[in-house]
Amino acid sequence: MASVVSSLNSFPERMPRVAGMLGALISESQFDFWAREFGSITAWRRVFARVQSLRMEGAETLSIALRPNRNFQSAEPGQHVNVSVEIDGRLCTRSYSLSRPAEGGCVSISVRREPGGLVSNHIHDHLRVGDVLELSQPYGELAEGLAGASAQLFLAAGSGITAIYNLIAEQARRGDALRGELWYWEKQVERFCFTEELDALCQTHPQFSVRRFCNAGDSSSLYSTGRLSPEVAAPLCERYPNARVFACGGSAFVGAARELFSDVAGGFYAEAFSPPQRLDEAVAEERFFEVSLTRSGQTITVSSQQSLLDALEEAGHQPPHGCRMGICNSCSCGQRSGESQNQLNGEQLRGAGSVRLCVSRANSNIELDI
Amino acid sequence: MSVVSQGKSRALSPEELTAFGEAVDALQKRAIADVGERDARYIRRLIRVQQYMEVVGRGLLFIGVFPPAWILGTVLLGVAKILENMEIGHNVMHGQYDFMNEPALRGATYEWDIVGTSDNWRESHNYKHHSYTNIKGLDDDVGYGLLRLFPEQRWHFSYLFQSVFAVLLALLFQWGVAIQELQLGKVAKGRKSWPQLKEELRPLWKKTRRQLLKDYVFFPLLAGPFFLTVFSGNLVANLIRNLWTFMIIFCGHFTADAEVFERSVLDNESRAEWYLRQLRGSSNLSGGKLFHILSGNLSHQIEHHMFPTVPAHRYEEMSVELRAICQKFGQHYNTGSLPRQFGQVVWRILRHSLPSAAPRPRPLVQ
Ligand SMILES: Cc1cc2nc3c(=O)[nH]c(=O)nc-3n(C[C@H](O)[C@H](O)[C@H](O)COP(=O)(O)OP(=O)(O)OC[C@H]3O[C@@H](n4cnc5c(N)ncnc54)[C@H](O)[C@@H]3O)c2cc1C
Ligand code: FES
Repeated sequence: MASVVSSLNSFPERMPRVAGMLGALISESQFDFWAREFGSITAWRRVFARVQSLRMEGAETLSIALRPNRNFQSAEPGQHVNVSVEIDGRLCTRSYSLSRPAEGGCVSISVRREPGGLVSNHIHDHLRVGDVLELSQPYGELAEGLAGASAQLFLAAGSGITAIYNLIAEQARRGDALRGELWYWEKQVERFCFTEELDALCQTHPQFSVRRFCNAGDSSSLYSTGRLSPEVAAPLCERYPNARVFACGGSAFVGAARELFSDVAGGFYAEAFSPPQRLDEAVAEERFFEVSLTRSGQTITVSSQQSLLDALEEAGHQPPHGCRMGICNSCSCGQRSGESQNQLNGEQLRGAGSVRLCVSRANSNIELDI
Repeated sequence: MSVVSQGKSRALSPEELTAFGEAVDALQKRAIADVGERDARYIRRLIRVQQYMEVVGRGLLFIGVFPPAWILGTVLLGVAKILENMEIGHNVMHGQYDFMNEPALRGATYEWDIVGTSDNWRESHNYKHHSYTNIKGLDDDVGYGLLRLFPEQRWHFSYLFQSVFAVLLALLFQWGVAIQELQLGKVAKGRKSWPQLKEELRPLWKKTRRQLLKDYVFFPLLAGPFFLTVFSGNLVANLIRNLWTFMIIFCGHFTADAEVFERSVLDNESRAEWYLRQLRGSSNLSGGKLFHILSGNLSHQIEHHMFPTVPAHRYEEMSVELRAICQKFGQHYNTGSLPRQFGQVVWRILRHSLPSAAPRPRPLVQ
């Protein structure tokens, strides 16, 4: 996951004079507090967004139009934001792609229900118009592939359609002529999203077509069957020898796409959305993970049986620390992504938050602010 | 085991010690497992009250030429500063609200509204004081390098004047906290270089300047012709907070029954022994809910020292079980009213300004 870019649009950068004077009297968090007391989502630096409208897309996906405050930078097509919602007193953060094209100062995300998932179900069940969420700045490099004249081949599986739809729809909104195909897989027919919109685009852009794949039940002619395989891919490669290929979906899907299309002439651009792996508590076997250090730009390998503090020190780092027993909080450090687990209380930290290095272990690859 | 101590608690057998440690651990685990929504709501509500108090307090000072407004404004501002400093700042910096993942309440980055920097505090308080509670020579809070509060500290004639130092420290408490980590004593003795001191002074000066300008220049200037009423109100509010924090904090470890320890306690100290040392080195203050909040729940110093990362508003309910555990294991649970405990602190300051002999140490563990 790309790291969150620091805000270039923040209030102090937009109005340095006013911010300078205010900043001498109150702190950033006081500013944010009072803005919220007066019903505004204005903030010093953070990006808050108000839910403007909600609509279902297909059976299990909820699209949320969000109006962010002015700290939010404009997004490129196909980018993602980290969305934080409060659940049981905790801010929980997950990544979602921008989906419907930006309109009137609003951006949209589309969240699919993940069975047993914490954030996606909370959003489906509890989010209401007028609620406030926190966003990161947009990130992601899929738009790099948009520069060029060759045909575009879009491959989407499941909720991967969100970023892919955004790439397509934003180009159409800009007035670009679409040329190429979208191949879109869903496990069930009811789950297809943006159906009307995509069909309308096919009408207005005669060189663009959509092919929907579904391997379950209904064998109507509307849907093709089959998985992403060499047999399916070969004719496509022939038809569009210079195509630029865009793929989004779970990591298995993206991996398969990469294998098949990575050497097509136009370039391969992909993003995997897999939910992170979990380490069952009972599984005590040693596993190894990568820890990327955002400040020093290094990556180190750590064992699941080692505290992050020990591992960092072994790798020659000297993170600040004190008691080494989870009391003093001196070693607490920002985690950007991944999952770590506090061994003292068993609590798992998913995504962004702060970890006490001396008593925490990695449960997945993680990114730390060191 | 070389743990020695005097006092009202009996020495525990190794088996008892283990059982004691397990009981305390279980209490902590249960509290941590329950942390969530309720704690987030609590701290948010408190911050809200604190913010409104500060704004109303500062607002009233603008019309402070009218004496009742000045008095009320000053008191409200003083209380707001106390809340920010203690129940919010101190506890947030212990990481008690890290579970919320809220950037504004992250222990490692929170910056509190006093002249000292949070980074210095995290070092001298969170690390040294909490890990080495009441260990002579390691916990700088034992007398703050200025006072002799225990007979175990070596006497020197300068301690004769320590009551004067103590009054000054009380009046200027936030400044004492601010410079504690600079360890000026070391510089005087040549154990720390001037360039290093200069390096350490830089962030402190930046923070101090901000705080001074805010309370004594910018807010008074905003009031225009009423510069002086705002200036004096801010000064008195800071003074109120200094006296209050001094009083509460001194009651936490320097009452008659609070014990100090030798460095040797650290040799192979187990978690259970660590708990025991926290218990014996700390003392509580009894009082109502409001009093506990105003003290930042440091009125539950014992619980705070045993469970520094548990949200402090839970200490009251945890204390019920902890007291029962202490009783079961014959350990003194040191608590009393503010006048009683503070009286003992004052007595210590007076008594140990004169030479005094340490009682014969007794083992903490058999
Ligand atoms: C760049 C990027 C873009 C993304 N874009 C989108 C998008 O546009 N739309 C979208 O819907 N999603 C998107 N995702 C996925 C999204 O970020 C979340 O991963 C997804 O919504 C699931 O989150 P959750 O909190 O609901 O599930 P989680 O609580 O994270 O659970 C994930 C899975 O793990 C299982 N699980 C949970 N707890 C346990 C446990 N203790 N033991 C075993 N299994 C467990 C759950 O059953 C679930 O299947 C994107 C991801 C990335 C990285
Ligand atoms: S070093 Fe103390 S909490 Fe980690």
